[in-house]
Amino acid sequence: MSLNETENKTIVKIHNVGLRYGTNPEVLKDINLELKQGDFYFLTGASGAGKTSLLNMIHLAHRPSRGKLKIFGKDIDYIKQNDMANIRRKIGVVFQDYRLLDHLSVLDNVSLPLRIIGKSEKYIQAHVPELIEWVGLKNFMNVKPPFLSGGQQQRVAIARAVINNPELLIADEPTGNVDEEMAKKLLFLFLELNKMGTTIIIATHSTNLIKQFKFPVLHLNNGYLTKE
Amino acid sequence: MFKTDIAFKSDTNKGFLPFITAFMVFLACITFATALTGKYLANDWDKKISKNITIQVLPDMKNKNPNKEIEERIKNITEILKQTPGIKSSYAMSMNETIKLLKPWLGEIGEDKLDIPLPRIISVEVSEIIPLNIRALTDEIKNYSNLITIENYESWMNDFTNTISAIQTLLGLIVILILATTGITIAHTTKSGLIVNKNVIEIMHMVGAHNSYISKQFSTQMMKLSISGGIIGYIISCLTIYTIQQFAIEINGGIISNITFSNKTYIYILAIPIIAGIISKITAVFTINKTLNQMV
Repeated sequence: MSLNETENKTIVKIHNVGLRYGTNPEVLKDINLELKQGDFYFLTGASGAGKTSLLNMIHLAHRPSRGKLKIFGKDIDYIKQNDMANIRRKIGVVFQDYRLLDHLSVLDNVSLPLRIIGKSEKYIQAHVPELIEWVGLKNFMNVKPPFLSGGQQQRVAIARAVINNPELLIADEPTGNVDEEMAKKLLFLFLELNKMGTTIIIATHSTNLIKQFKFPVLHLNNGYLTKE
Repeated sequence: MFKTDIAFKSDTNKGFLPFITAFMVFLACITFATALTGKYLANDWDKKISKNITIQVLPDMKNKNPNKEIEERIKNITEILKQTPGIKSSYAMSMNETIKLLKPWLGEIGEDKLDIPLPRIISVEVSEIIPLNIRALTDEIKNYSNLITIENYESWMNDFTNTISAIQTLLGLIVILILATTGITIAHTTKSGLIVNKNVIEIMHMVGAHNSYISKQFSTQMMKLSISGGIIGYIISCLTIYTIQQFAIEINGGIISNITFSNKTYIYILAIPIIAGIISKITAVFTINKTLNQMV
């Protein structure tokens, strides 16, 4: 599951966190969670249980309404704007709705995190096509997302999330739209990253994946988080 | 080539911003060129008019033979003028020339039959090299005879120059107003562009883009659109100025023919699209940073 715990640094620490949208009831309640370097978790729960909200909070799309959230040792209550961007650079996110840029090609979408951190075009050309080929989209390099199927878009989103070797990978239903064989292949990609020290948390409904890979499972039920 | 991650291709700003900038730059260029032409016109008139003095010698009505007496005074005044430093030349109009000049009022009359006293004019050309003490000259001539008036156009020219300066200031303020309006338009266009691209910006934030990265992309794109509009506005205004100039040359007379645009005008008004580009960059950066700070 993880490397020697004493050597591992804490990546995410959530303490008594609650999250609500506006004046609505809390969607996350009293969440306590610590993710260490090299951890691999599945996150399960019924639709509307708060999985996406929890993942969004971890990648700083939402701030908790109460409680403490620390990411890479930084309390997000005191994080400056530039630090927020720097933290996000260490996080790879596979969104449930992919969130690709429709006007950019597959190649440019996957290259985006590298361009943002200022990698050279030479570096991009050396690394990005290889990954795109690996996720099976070699022939779609210059195609724009609206012309891809759901499964293909999902693979582009995964490639974009992992291209920068993130320290934390958050994936919301990353295999929901791909066939079983591709799902396994993508999971093996996540495993490889995990072996290199990337902390991974995957929200999924797939009991097959959970059974097959035997990683610990976090379960959300009615806003409460339990570890199985 | 500048690579952008923001979807400007589908953005309505791509057409609107160059159009509005072109229009504003055109207005500002024409206004600025008009202000410059006013200055050239004033200088031109000043050069031409300040070189000339007109001395009007009035007839002495107490004299029995005023037309004869006036000849004597003209001779003496001409002598004074010859000895005055700063006078290049002088020319006293003869009685015949004076009669011709007054023909519309007096009708056809011969010099020999003329028995009404007439004023006479001495046209004086001032040296461009040796300065003339106009006050001393006036005093000297007035001491000699008080039936003389001297017109040096100085006060008239001063009034004219002051009016031109006031108009120039007003036109300058209009140029500033036009550029300020351009800035405000760019600010609003930038803001609407950011709203249109909100989803893209959110994704870029999520993958770790600093505001400066997004701001640079957006503002550079906005500046490119503004400059392209500015260049169009500049070219149209140059063509307009050239057409007016040709029209003025064709008329070849009166005040309109004096409305000439110096070749330097085309260079000076080039400052307008450049300033518009700088304003668009500064405004866009300011608006973008402010809006992005609210978005994160």
